[in-house]
Amino acid sequence: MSYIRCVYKLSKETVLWENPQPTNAFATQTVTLSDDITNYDMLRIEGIATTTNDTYLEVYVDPLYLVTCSTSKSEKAGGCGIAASTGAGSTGSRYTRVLKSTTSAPNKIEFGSEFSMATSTSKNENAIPTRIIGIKYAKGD
Amino acid sequence: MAWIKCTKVIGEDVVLWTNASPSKRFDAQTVTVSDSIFNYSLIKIVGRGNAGTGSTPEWQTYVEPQYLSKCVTATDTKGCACLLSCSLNLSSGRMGRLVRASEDGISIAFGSTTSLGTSSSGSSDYIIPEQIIGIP
Repeated sequence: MSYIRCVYKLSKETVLWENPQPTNAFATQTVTLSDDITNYDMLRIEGIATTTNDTYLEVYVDPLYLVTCSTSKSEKAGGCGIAASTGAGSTGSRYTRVLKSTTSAPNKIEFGSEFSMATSTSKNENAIPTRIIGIKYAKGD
Repeated sequence: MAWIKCTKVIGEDVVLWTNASPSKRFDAQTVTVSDSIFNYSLIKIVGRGNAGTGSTPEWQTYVEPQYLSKCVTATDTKGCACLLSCSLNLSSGRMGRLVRASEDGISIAFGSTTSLGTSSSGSSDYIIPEQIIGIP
């Protein structure tokens, strides 16, 4: 009798942070995670379009890259953000919210203010982060 | 008793598209990748902050193929949006460029750049995609 045993590269996901009030406006803030992001191979930032529109948003980001991101336009760096398109025509807008981390506080992520990509207005009701997921890749052998 | 141990092959990252002229302005356009993005678990897009030379920032974005196909590049489409973004400096501010994939995963559309936080349109000199990479 022969057996075939396969070892796959599986990933394990851990919820590092969850927004307790995702239908509330989300102002600029720093959130504390349940673990350091450096313990993970990848992060998935999940969100919804607005406080009244639950269109799903996501972005994947390398934890090592997140520390190079910038929430201030005065900093010269690559940016990371989640973005949403909330509607059609003149009533629709595209929004983005940038985020970053720092090497000195690997268990925290700072969310910047939300920006409209079409107007000069900025509201906290758009591009609401809902969860931060840490992803570890299992090593197949 | 014989054991055959098989391991799912974790292949190398595959470059699916390369910008032949990364130092030139990049207008909104659709590019064709060498293999459907749906054959990969994750897509990585890398680029430079602007077309000029010098201390330009580099950026990278990871996105799931299925998510990329649901992204939008225009305000007249309702749905999620995928953003390539870069913070340049005080004078030019932060710029963004939206990107989406076709249903067959072969065509990748890059939108025009937009200045984030202002009403002005961006320049094609910013947020230059350099490579689209498939991660098995």
